[in-house]
Amino acid sequence: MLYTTMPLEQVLDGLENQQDRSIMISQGGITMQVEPLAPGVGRIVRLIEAGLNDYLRPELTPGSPILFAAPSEGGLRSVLP
Amino acid sequence: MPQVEEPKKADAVVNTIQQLGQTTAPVLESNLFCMTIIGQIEGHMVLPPQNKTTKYEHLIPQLVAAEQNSKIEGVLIVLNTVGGDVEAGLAIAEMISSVSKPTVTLVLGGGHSIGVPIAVAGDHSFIAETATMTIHPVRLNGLVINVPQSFEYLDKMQERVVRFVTSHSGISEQVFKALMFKTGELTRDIGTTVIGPDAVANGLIDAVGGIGDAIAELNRRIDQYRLGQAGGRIQ
Repeated sequence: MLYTTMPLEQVLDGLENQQDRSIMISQGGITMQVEPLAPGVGRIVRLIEAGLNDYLRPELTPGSPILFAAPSEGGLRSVLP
Repeated sequence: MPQVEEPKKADAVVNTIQQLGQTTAPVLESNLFCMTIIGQIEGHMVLPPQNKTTKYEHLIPQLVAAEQNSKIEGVLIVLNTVGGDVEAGLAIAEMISSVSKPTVTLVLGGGHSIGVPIAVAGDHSFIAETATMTIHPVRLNGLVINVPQSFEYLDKMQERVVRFVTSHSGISEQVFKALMFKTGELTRDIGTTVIGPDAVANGLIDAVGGIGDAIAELNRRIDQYRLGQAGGRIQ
């Protein structure tokens, strides 16, 4: 239930046409949902599994850009050590 | 040992430049954690991309981390929100109010609808001189079945907001409900928009102020908290 001053038709406009293009990646011990923007570049949607203090890292806030290795057949690889 | 840590830090910066082509400036560690709540508060439903959103599933672990992390001594919550999901907003407000470390909230721009309980959830609240807060009834969206139960459900949701706000601020239930159901103020809705000093006059917010006042208050509360803890240890 939404409780907002914004007109609901404006907030919910395009709700039906939303496509979930997000993928799951795992790097640096953090599993996250990322929306790919270009090969190897994405935007963080949400953290799925992370250490508590990772949530305090501003670069991991949802909406932040992130570089990642494209998921291969062998599973998920990371660009970070 | 600073001599050992310095080259390590420099290495990390060089590595991020080489590997990612980006680096964040080395930051001095602060004992404050600043949490910003902007745009729509996104809860159970993923909102379309034209909305700027704050996701509650990120804020909740952030508050847990702030509570648990020994380097963080106080939390500053900065709000500029148009409202959003009722349950998510109330969850955030409950979390803020139950953090044991000092918390100060600051409403900049706007703290509307479900932003109101969040704005009053801290130990002390500030509102900028020009900031506004809109208090209005909860509306139902989507398919509404025209039965008395629908109204009761809506009323219960509203009651949760009213109860939280009145128990965490100086405003009385009577005054808050009067603001909520006022007609003739808003063009598209029932309710009231209160501007900075009015919010303080109504007892909703503690004081009019900006970032300087908020941080000064937070630091004062941190000092008090430290004293309290030290006192506790002696016993």
